[in-house]
Amino acid sequence: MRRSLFLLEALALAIVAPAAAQESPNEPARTGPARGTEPTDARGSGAVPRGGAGAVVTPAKESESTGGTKVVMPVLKHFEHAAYPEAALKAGLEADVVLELTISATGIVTDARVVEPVGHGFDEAARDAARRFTFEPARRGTDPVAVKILYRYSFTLTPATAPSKEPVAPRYGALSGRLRIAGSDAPLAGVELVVTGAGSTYRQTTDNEGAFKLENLPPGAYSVEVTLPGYWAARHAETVIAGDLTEVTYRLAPRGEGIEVIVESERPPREVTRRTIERREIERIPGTSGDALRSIQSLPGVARPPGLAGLLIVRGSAPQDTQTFIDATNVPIIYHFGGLSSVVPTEFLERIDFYPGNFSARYGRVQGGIVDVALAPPNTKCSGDYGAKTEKSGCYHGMAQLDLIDARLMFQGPLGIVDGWDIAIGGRRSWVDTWLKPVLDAAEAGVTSAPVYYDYQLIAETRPTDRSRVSLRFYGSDDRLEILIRNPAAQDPAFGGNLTFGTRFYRVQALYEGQLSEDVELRAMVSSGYDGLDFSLGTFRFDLNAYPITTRSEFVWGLGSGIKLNTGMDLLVAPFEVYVRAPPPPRPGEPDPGPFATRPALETLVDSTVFRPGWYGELELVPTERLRIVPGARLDYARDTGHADFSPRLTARYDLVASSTSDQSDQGAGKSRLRTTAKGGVGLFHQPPQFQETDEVFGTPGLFSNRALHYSLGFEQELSRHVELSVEGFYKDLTEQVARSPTANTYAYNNDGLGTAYGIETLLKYKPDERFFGWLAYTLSKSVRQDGADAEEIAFQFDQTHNLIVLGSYRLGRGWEFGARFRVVSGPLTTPVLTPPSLPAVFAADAGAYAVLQGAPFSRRLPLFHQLDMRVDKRWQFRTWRLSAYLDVQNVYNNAAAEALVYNYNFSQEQFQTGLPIIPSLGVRGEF
Amino acid sequence: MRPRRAAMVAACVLAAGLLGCGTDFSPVSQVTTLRVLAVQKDKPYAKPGDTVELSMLWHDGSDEAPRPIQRAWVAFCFNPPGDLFTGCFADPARAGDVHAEMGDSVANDRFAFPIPRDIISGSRPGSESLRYGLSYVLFAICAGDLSLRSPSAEAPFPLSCKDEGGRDLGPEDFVAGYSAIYSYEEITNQNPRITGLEFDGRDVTADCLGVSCVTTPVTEPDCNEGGTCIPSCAEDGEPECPGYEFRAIVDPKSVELDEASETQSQGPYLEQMWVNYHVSSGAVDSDVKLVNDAVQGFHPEHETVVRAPKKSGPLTLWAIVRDNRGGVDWARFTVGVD
Repeated sequence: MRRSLFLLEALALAIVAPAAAQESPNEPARTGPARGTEPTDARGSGAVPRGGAGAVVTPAKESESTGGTKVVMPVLKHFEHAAYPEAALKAGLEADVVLELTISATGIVTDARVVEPVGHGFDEAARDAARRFTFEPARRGTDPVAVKILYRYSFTLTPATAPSKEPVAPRYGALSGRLRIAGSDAPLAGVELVVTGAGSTYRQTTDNEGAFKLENLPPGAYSVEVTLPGYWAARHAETVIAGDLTEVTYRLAPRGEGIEVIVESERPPREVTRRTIERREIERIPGTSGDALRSIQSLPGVARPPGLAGLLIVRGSAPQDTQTFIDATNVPIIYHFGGLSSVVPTEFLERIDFYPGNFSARYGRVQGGIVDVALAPPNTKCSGDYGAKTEKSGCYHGMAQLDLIDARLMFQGPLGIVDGWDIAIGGRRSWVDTWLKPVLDAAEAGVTSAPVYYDYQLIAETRPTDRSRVSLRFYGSDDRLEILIRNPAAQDPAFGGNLTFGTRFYRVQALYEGQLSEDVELRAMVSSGYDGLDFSLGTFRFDLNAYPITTRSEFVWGLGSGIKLNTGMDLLVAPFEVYVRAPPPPRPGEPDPGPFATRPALETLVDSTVFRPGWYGELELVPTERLRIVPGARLDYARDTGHADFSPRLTARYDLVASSTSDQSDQGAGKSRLRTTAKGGVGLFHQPPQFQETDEVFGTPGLFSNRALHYSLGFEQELSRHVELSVEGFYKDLTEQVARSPTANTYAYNNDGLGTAYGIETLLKYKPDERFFGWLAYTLSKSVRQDGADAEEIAFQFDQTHNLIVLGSYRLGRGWEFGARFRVVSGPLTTPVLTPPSLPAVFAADAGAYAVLQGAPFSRRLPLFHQLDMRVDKRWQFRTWRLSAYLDVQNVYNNAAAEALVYNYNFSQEQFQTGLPIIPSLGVRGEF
Repeated sequence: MRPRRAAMVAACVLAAGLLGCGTDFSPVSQVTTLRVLAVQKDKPYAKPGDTVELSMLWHDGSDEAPRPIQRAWVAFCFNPPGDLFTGCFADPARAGDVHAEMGDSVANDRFAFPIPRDIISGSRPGSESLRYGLSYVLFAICAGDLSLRSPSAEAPFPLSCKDEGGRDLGPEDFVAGYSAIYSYEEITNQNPRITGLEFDGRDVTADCLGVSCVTTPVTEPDCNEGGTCIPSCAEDGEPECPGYEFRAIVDPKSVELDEASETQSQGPYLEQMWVNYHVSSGAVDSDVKLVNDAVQGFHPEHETVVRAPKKSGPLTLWAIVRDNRGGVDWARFTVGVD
């Protein structure tokens, strides 16, 4: 039980103005022992005086003027106990309050003034009590006189020195505990804890059992900080109570559990907006099963694709307008089977940079957005026991993971046979075929080859010098399936028969980055590989074999203080052969051509070479620390279209308020100013037409590139050490877009298409700390298209007015982590069927199915989409390896979201096609 | 839950994101309203200058049957832009060469018109050997008054069907459609051929085969005179009812090479062929079954399973075989339901 004694230390320093006090009123409290006499009633449960009052009395002015008679100090006759301020008592605070008391000639306190306010309620309590004091008045000679004295009223939790028959209350408490590795009970020995409180700082080191104990701590609030290389720093608030032992257990989370991945750049980006996702975020965003590229779909500016489709729909642009690069090499697909999982496992990623618009001149031939994935160098850093990070390197690591979709292995470490080289190798195979085949067989689909995918990665890397890096890579992907559909679709029997699908690619890639001199840096990449895509259904077929060679070389020239020039060239040379046999498909918004089943197929066989060089230059001007201006330009040539495109671009960032930190080592922990940045950009972007648009059979030769003018303007505001707000408006003016219109007896492509996309993106982000990360992303946008200046404006197929995403993940301790993601998105657009007086559809007699009569394209929006996803992770850290498991549940409350409309056979009845029901996904992973 | 249904549910869950499933519409196989089931051309691929004769197989499954049904045919649309049938939604009165018939007699179930001699003309993408001409025939059947009308954005089809009050009838009483006739210089096509039917594991005699069904009325078999009969089912065609296999016997020799695929592809494809099953009551398990795959060839197990209705009376079954080049053949069989 807590017990306190309140002591009053009366320090009476008589002042008889003009005072020439020997103790300054400004001197800190408790500077010396009390010199007054202790009142006889100075004990009990109230505040009591402690010690006597030593007073050097200077006669009061009026007394002084009377001449040289000695003044006798006033003597306290009645002491009033002050009430100990409740809040201060709970907080264990003590204080000394110095008062100036005016004592009349009758011994009454006529005024009490606080000389030295200390707050916490002490001042008022001391003043109120002192006004009730009574004194034996001061005397000059025999005459009582009025005087002013200084009086120190002490509030303390220590026991009174006065003898008492009551038991002496304890004056100190203690703090003890154990330090452990999160996820296990392994002790952390030899770790220093810094304990701060009660005006003092204590340091204690854990023993071999990870235990520590601090005794004789004054009661009060303490902060305990633990920092250890390789672990997330921890800070805990504790309260020490007199007479009590406070016992605690702290667990430090190893940093090694997440790759240190993202990766805010060390300098401001060359682009208006670059969004980077940290490894921990990638792995823990609920609803993505830890898949790297799916996490991009949780960022502002990215529309939610329908169903499982892995489309990237960025700022109102078509999916094909956003391209994905792996270290500057374009890859044909980013998802297995169009959205199941990324073709590069998260474990091989160093970072993902996502540019929703106004990107650098470094990127060309794209008018939408850019996803640039950087592969991680092999990790050879050594871990200590229980995953603790060390400074050592040259160690091996391995990982094995199994979930409901696939299994993967990864191994990395020094190459061994060649000094200085490190290697990482990995592979993944889906195993859905083992359980999907029986399901498809039961559904009367003859499965020749059930869906299966592979991917593989090999990275060998070295650092020839401290300022250079060479990386050799080989990676690829392979998806395939073959099914005989014995029950063709009633609405279009073309969707029956033998279905084959296969995509595969590989790349051999070499990367060099080096500082050639103090002012010149070179980044070079060359890659060669293969892209294959085959699809067949009945008599329709698509076969593509391409052998792309890509190069990129960029020189960075330091031209002086605040000026840097980036110049580069990239080249795509791709011999290819493509064979297509299919009816020409309608473009979005075009009338339904009727069932494919009986439409004769067109055929084309093209054997050619794509040759597309590009040159770019970009200045980085930093005239002041706060301003960065990046003007740039790019020139692209496409031999297949015979056209060259010039694309000037400009971006700028200005720190209205530059951030400043007092402790650079703590990532802004000591920030004294929070950054405010204004940013904007304008630029021209070109994208060559798609293959089928210029093909002689399926398209119209002679087309030139689509053109987009990007504008963006916004700001970034740091709100705290971890919280940042980013708001950005964008406007895209799309011109010379490839469109199609009827001419003679065919539909011909042209460059008459127009469009606009505009909106505003907001991102309120809590940057990852040792326990939490999360963000709120909201995008408001509109995107429309026109087939020509005189054509009717229609909504873009994937237009989404509202897109709100709230997500977060919290480490609960003991290896547990819990996360949730909630999304509210405008429903997808659909094209309605005609209503009376028209029939909704007509009977296509040759196919035995109906052909829909469409209303205005994309003029009907389906109900709002909303979904909650949750994820729970548990990690067990052992001495030499780690085991983790996760349960990722999509659509927790099983919302039947409308993804599209489905109709009965003659389109006279409709229903919503609903999305995925509640889907739990379970995964287990072991690594060392 | 039966294993097959469980499998379908699992497949639906997998495919729901992209394909959709789990709807509870009446299947296309149940003919319970006025329906056109097929249109057969005597020359699925006609040459320029040929006269093509078309026959319509339709059935009025509504509770109001029998009732007067008007039929109409219009042919005036050749080589529309993009080969789109919607390109034919123009006013026939303004077309230069219009062939049309309208009436409510059996004779109106057939229609003939000539393919223009210059049908293969104008620019069309693709190789010369694959150049073709395209003729569209529009047709309609109507349980009211059928007439030509000027198309509009609200009602683009150039035929209207109204009741006595002048109100437009809906899809239960008015069916409009089209048939496309492709013309190549060299390539021809024959209709597939149904040689017989199997019911409940044995050969049965079809009511009719091919165009003869247009003029052959449905008669209820006499169960006491050797007619094929099955008991009614209280669950009215649901999967709980007993199943009877029903199969169209298709002549494998009627599967042709898809000659248009021989020009550039790695090997000649066969015609893709499938069969649509329809019932006047009750249900079938599979509406459509694959008969021949372009790559894997003939697939003899193309039967469906018939489940009896609750109501007794004649149960009419249709098997309509189609190929992917406009060819079609059909057969009809009537089962008595006790």
